[in-house]
Amino acid sequence: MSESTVAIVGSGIAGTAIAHALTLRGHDVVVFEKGPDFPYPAEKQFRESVLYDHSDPAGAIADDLGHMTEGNDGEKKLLPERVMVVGGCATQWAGIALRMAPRDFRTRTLYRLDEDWPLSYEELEPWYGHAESLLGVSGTDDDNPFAPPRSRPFPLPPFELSWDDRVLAARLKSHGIHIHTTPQARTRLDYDGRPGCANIGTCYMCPIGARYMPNHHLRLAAATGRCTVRSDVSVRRIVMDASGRARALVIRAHGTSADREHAARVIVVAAGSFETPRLLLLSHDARHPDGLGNQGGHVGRHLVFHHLWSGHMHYREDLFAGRAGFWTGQSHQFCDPPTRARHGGIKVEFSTAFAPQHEKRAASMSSAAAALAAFEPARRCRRVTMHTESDTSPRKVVRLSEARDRFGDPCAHVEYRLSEYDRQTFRFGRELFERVAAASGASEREFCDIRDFDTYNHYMGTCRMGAGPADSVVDPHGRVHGCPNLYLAGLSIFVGGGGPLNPTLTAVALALRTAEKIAEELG
Amino acid sequence: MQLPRRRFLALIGVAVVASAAAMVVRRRRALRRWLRPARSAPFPPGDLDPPTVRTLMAAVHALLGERIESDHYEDFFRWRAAHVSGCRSLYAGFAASLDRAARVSGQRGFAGSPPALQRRILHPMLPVRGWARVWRRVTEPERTRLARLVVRDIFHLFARTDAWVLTGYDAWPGHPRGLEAYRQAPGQG
Repeated sequence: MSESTVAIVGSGIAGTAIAHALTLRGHDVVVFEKGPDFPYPAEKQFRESVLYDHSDPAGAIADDLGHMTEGNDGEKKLLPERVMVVGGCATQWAGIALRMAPRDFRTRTLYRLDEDWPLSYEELEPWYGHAESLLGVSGTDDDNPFAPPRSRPFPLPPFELSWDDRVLAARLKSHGIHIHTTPQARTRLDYDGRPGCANIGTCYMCPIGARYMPNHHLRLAAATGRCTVRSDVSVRRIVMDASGRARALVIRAHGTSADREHAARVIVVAAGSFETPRLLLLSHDARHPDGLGNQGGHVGRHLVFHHLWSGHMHYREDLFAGRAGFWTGQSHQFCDPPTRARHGGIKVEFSTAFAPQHEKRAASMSSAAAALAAFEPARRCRRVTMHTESDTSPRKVVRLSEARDRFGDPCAHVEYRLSEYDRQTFRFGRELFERVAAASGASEREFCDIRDFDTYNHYMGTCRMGAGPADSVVDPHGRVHGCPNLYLAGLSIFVGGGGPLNPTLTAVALALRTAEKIAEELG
Repeated sequence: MQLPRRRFLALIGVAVVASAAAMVVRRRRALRRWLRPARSAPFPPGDLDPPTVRTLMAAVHALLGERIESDHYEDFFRWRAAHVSGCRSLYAGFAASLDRAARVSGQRGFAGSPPALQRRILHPMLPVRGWARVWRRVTEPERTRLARLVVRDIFHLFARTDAWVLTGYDAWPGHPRGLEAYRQAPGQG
């Protein structure tokens, strides 16, 4: 049996933040990751995927181990989106790093939506600052009148609006719509051993580490000699002792035939909103017949996605969008509309990222002239995404599936169906899109179907925090109710979706707060 | 019992279609073998030989014209041949089929053929849509395979690279473009 002071399940951005913080404080940490290693910086992956259009099968998890089942009425297929590698989803994220607004912590009180969070923006504010420092967030609030209060400046200056952003911003301003810059975990200048962004433009696979990846801090943590990352290992169960404390993890290294136990004084599960509840449910025992932390029946419930509905606006003049790969302009003006109780708030994202449908269309042609004709409209096109708030519902849940992995353990089953609130939010988003398109002088526009939404892997809830086991799974520090040394971290502990803004920075802020609590407990 | 003529013919038609479908299902493996052309054993990943590279690059220029930058196409073929299982054989097969067609027309090889002939040789490999695509899959499975795997990749790479520059962008994504130009009006960065 192996052991460490702290064992962390999942090497994504939240698990890594905790691992890094605790190793800096002198604790030994082992991080278990079900997926394979992901070399950092991602130069190899960049060359393969961007230059040579190849995906190395050795860099992906086996199908059965990454499997889950879905009951989504065809609305959304989640399985192809799964990223299970060392570093998790944040190996391939956009890097947008936003704070929730103070009102987003009080949605029950203000809008009769879901529940209030058991902590306030003011309590989390210092941790937002730590999280921004950790990730190296470039940004400013100077041009954003809707930004929440902050006690320290961004660690790096902002990425300025693109030329085409400014063209649209000027038109929209005269119609009362405000575009501002986007805070993002991408280095405007050299920072913490990471080079400044060079605008390579393939941000989903940044080859130089300018866009933050957890692997940066996993490497720093490993360099202390106190952190080990064990990839290609499935954690099958959490073992509790007679006193109700978590004692060990049951692990299986892929390619071996026997389980082993790994003992730890503190266990943290940071495996995302599907695998975290699955592990809690799989770890049922006589004392916890419905799974760990599930006294109130909340494990797996309260799942919320961010629905990202996009449209394209076409103009008569050239805008040349796509000359920056990163995100530049957005608007938080509609995050808290007066009608928020009836539908969700919306962040409007003016993505400068190139709309890939033009490349796709050009690639299907049979002559260079036809390909260029298919590509050329890209110069006059802008993509706008409505990044929307959602609500919880009994039809948005994670439970154990009939399907099993190679060890015989049930996979996660995700049931997710849009609610009436979501449909109202879609209508609001479509109206907003029409308003933006008209105000910016678009000559043509098209908006997607309600079923055609992205999520950017923003899956929240399923192990939400709250005051006690009757209404939640963990306390405000991420500690599982009734299990004093078992903590959860990441988006799974969100209370609802946390509003319409990108959730990752909040997950990191919460994780750093949890790490502080664990460090206190360990002494 | 007498069947009306029309009904009798309909029943015969249904029976014929059902029998044909059953035969296709039962003999699907044999049919697939018959439709699939004989292929030589695949080469393991490795270096492309110079004549193959020459023919591939001649095909790239024949498809895309002379205004493209050609280095990244050659780099693309060489890397995939060396690292991706099946690609070296695919490219060698593609080049051999082009050279064979050129020799039939009295040339020494595809690379040295007149541009008009090159385009004529490549024409059956260009993407087609609808019923033409279905028909080609049945009648010319090898050309369809080459079109799908090689010609499509060439156009795909073109769309991700040269198409940007040829439609007025300063550069395509994938190499450093700096943090100044994107903030300026096009052509001023």
